[in-house]
Amino acid sequence: MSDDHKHNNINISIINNQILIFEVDMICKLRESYGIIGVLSGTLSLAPQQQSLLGVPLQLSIYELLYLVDLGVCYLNVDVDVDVQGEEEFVNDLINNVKLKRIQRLKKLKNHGILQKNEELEDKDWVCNLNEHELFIETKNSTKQTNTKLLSMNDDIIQQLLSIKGHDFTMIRFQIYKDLKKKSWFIQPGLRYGGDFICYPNDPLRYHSQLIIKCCTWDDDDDDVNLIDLINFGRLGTSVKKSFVYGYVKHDGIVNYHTVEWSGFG
Amino acid sequence: MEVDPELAITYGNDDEDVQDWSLLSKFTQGTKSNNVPKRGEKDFEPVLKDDLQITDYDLSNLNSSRQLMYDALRSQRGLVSSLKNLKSSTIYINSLMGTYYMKKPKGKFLESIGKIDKNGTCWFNFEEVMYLVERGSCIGKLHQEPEIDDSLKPPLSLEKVYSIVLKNPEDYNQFQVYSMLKRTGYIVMRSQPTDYMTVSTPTRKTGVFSFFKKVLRLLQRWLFTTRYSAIFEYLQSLIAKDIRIDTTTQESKYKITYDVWKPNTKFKKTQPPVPDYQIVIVDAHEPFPTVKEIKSLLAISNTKPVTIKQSKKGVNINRLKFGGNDESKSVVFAVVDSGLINFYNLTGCDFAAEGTSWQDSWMKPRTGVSKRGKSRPRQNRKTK
Repeated sequence: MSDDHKHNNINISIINNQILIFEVDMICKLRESYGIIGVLSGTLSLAPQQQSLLGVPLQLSIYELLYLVDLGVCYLNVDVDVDVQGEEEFVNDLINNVKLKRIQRLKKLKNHGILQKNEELEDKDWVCNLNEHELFIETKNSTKQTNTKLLSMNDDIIQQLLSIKGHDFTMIRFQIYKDLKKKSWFIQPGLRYGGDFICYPNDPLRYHSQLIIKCCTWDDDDDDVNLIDLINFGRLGTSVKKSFVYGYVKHDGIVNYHTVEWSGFG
Repeated sequence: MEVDPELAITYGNDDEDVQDWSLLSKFTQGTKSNNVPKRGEKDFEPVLKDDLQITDYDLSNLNSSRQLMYDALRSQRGLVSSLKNLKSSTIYINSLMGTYYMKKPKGKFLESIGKIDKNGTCWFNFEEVMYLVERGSCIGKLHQEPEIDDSLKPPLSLEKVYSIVLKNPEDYNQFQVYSMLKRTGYIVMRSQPTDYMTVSTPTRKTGVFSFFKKVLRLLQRWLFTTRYSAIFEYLQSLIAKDIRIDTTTQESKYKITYDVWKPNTKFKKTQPPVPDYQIVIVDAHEPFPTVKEIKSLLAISNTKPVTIKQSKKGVNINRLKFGGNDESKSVVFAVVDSGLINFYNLTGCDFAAEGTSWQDSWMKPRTGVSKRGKSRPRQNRKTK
């Protein structure tokens, strides 16, 4: 595998049937290279008592996963639950932190003129005894993964996820998702506005969403689109100033869209 | 509660929150807050150049917003402690037994989290472990037999904690609802319906008083047959008895998972009062519960009744909405869709108990005659 390829790989973990990403670098890469946003769902330790800005892990929807798998860049972390011992590294980090703090303190003292000039900043006799210090004990986001596996559509774990979500309808939605991605929309789950997806013209961080997408089937005996829903969605779309779009896949695999707009006569 | 006023950033309840990561930049290490532009407002769409790439102006705004977010995400999670005292913030995970414990528990979070046994060991549920580790209040380590000094062992990473602790398919949704409620400051515990001190619900007044009432009603009926309200009141008294929430509990796949209290300094986790809310967790892609299932949930729910005074004239809408009498019950449905949670409150409301809404306009007692022309102040409608 070339380095260029490796650079674009996305490593995911599947825990409890959820698709999660714990590495911040991966989250950045997804946003910038693939236009995939996901949903940040962890408590942000920086400001834990608020709800609107959340942190690691990033949760991906099944469609986002399928899209990455389809591109052939998605690697699964296999040994997520195996404990990797990195005692030496951990202790070294702690010692380095203490040393850094001490040097900073000594520098400060020197700047204030409290420290005698002949005392050196780096005291060679000084030995770091970890038991004497207050230490910052860090919980890292993830442990370095060595064992990864390229995911393909036929993989057991993908099939398992698909069967949980309902295989057929998920695949239809995925086709619509893929088509929207091709049209370079940024897509988020649609619960906020009662659709399947909501579409943004670019990163949701900076732009408002414009479309609410509802997926339906093309020729189904059940009446998939009922009139009451149609009226509801038309009104909903108007009141939140977004277009409500029905998407469906035709026999030839071409995805078609219809916008519902409340015409507001009378 | 563990609310740090400086860090608690509150926003409006807008559906689509404006994510202003710039507010966080002051807490992040390594960023110069002076150089950070105040970004947080959204635009309709980016301006595109001829080659369909977004313009430099948009790109630089986007990048600075992104950078703020990345900085916040990269900030370290952890706690400051000496190695000696580290045990009192270490949660041991026994993955075989599925138990999570802390040997010498210490910390403010213990006010509403965990259960301490006779030996002073604190036991946790899985969502409590995940919340505390993710928040940086505690670290997680694997349980070891026999016990050894592991103070120099690195704590488990967040990913490991997730993968070891999450076991059942519904666990992740439960954890998300739990941590969301905790983040917003509520006190949350797993629901154990039998443990609560039951509030003595005032029994319906019976006996002499009601007997007189009946006689009075009869008299009313005969004396004031011309009054419409008397007839309505009589009809209402007939149906009021029948409408009670169906108490026959049946097997239902929906369960009350969490009990929730509003922040309260007097809260004792060993003797919790009747919860303010009870939460049922539903996956957004599953069908919504049927009326029967909702009814049986309402029957087993046990929440603190909202006290809204019955208005003297007519029906108080808020009493119907939130349930004004002591017997009205409510459950909150948390609907989860890949990381987003919506809450719906369902209350069993008893129209009949509210009395008749009809009023004979000519029978109204005339009050405030001296201030005629001035409208009387409306009743205070705030209920929460």
